[in-house]
Amino acid sequence: MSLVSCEGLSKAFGPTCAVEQVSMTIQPGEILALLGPSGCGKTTVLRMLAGFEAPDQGTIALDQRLVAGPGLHVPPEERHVGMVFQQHALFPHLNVGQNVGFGLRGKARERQAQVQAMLKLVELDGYERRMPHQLSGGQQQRVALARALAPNPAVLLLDEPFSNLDADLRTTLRAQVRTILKQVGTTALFVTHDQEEALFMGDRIAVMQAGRLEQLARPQELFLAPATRFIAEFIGLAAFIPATVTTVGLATELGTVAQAIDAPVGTSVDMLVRPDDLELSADPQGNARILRCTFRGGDFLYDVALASQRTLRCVCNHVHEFAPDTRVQVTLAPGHPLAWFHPSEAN
Amino acid sequence: MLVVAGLLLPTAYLLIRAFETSEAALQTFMRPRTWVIIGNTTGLALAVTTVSGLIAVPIAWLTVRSDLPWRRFWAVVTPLPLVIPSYVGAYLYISALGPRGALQQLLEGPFGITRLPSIYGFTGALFALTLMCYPYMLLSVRAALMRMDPSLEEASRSLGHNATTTFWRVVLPALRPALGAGGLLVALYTLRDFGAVAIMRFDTFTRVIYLQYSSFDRSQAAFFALLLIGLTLVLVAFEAQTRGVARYDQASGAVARPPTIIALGHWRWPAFAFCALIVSLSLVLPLTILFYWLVRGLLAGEQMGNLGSAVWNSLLASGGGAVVTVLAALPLAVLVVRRPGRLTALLERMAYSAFALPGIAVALALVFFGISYARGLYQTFAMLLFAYAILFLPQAFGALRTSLLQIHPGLEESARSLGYRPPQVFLRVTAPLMRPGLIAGASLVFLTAMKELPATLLLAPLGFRSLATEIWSAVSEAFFARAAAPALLIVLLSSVPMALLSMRERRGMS
Repeated sequence: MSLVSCEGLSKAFGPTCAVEQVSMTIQPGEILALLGPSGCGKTTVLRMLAGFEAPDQGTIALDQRLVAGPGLHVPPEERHVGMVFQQHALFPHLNVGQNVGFGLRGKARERQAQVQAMLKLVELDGYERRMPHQLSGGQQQRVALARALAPNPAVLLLDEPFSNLDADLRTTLRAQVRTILKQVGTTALFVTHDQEEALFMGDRIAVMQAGRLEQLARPQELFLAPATRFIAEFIGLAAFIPATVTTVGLATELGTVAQAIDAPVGTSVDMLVRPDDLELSADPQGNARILRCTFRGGDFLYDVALASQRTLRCVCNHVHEFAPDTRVQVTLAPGHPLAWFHPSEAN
Repeated sequence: MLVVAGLLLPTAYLLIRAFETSEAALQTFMRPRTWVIIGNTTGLALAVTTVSGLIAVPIAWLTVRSDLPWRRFWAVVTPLPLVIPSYVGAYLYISALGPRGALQQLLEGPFGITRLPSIYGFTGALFALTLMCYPYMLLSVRAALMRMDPSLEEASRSLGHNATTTFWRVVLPALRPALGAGGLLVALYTLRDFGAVAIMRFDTFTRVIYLQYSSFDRSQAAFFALLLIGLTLVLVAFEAQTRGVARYDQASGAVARPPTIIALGHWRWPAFAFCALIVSLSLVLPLTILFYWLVRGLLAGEQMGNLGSAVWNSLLASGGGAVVTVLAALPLAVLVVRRPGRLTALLERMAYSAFALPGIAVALALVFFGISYARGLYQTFAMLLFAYAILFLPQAFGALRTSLLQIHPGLEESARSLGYRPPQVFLRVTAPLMRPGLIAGASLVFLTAMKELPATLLLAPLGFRSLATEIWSAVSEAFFARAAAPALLIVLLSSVPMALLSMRERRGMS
């Protein structure tokens, strides 16, 4: 039983198609991260769920109730959906307590109690009488979260909530927010263009590109078995080397990787190689040359040139450092099947 | 400092003058007639502001946020009544709707109606001033609506409030600063306005002051002028008070999304009719009447001969006023922007406070000053320019301040480090970069001075006739046709900054 379910959502603005045939479901208590480059349609999906846009095609059901479909458009205020905005959108004329209580109905005393409980949840108790402009960016965003959670929404939508904050604050705040969401058991859709943030926040991640949903999977799966070339390049560092299908696996200029391939023998494919799939060793007769060395704190990232002039990147956490122009031996050591794509997929 | 001293001169002088005759002043204060005038003035200001708000908020919302038919057309046309000076508007309404006016003559033929309900007094003043003033509120509310972050409304919707509740609980409160600022402009305009109330024969302070001045009861005029200044200051303070604790500037770095358009459904055509009604009353009617009188005057062989000298005088006085005002505002602006501190903050306040000085009060103070201390200056051109400088200082100051703020101090500092002395830096770096601000400030003052009536009337040298005084003298003797040509010229001249303003707004939108 899913809490949110979309079927074949499409939406065009004039001649441009913003969202095309997107279907997805979110399970109760799950945080789904919707990831994609800017302009990919992810915000439009979120706004259709919230009811600020009506889909041209497709249906949306929230908590087993159809809210959008042919001839049906339930207005936002009747969807019982909480929303946290990029610019927090706190009402400037109301204080923190009044902002949090804005969506609450019922007796004054009950509302007050709920406001208190929410402020305690986001660790802002005692800030009730402050005005929004007297708070820091992180505090404002926490008030916005409290305000969205106060009426116990069926699902919480977060639209790039941390993108206006500086990097340090972003990291602390997202940890706080994830803890709070899990504590309350909220079902949430989290829109972001930052893959690190998506990997951190999402139980599952949906990747969108050019209006289409490319893959919806757990973070590890996206990394190891990207469904499309776009995802392979979008998530993590990626390089492709040409390979040929053989009876035992994939043959490349770095040797053969043994794995089962469901493609005819002799097919030419592009094999996905990530920096951690490679190993480097000093070797004057080696098959590659160091181009550049970047120290990243925990490890070194090397750009190496192969005999074919192709450039790959490798991670090495060894203590010793290779200077540029050193000859090295690069070997494939993935420890898992590598993803591959037909060259025709390249655009 | 000298400039600020100049600013304070009128008020100080009125104070001295009123205290000299303090006993008489006290008596005047006790008289019921004084209270009637206070009541009239505040009542009119309140009524004009309220009705302006009732016109401005719906039009602003309709032109920014709804699918009103011809939305862009209405957006351009509705602020246009700003170009009609109040005395021109009042004269046109009187000549259209007043006794023996166009409407009555139109009705007399077929229906035999010889009397219409009187337009003079409160009704007429309210009618004319509201239709001339509502654009001030409209422009500020429109700007606020366009700047407003749409996610505020979406937040309210997602928290379970429908569109109507959202408007009352979120949109309207967010418009409060714009309503306050626009309302302050309208109320100040009404308090200071002389032309419309004088023509509509409604006894507010400005009209009474002028009448007393004309009948040489000058200490009472001074006392009333002081009361009027007091009233405007109370108003400004009141607006500052009610602004409250909330801050409305939007989160910085936010990507501005265009406002969402709301479908009006079956309200589309009533809304269209509302806009059409306001525009036809505030723009089409006055302009039609203006051309009617113009044509009639031409046919009747009205003399246009002395119009040339009036135009020349208007240009001379306004041009001189613009130069003097900008020169006075320049050191003030440089000081305020480049040396921020407590003293300069006070100076800035003072510079803006001239907004609250009614033209007639300033003029009166200078008349007294001229008679007592500067006989040589009394009723000279210089005195008139001085009055303009006091009255229009805030406009010039505002324009200069904005352009100075845009010039990074680093530019001046790098010129200093390249070996230039401060005066050279100013001439070679600051002044060229400020040129747009200087031009904007000067042209604003120029065009406002062109329309100015009471100070020109009181302070101009004997026999000085400008476009504004031409209209005034023709209208006060009910020669409506003779007033038409100068009125048309003034309206045309005032249209120039309006065109610039709306062009800038549209550029801001795209």
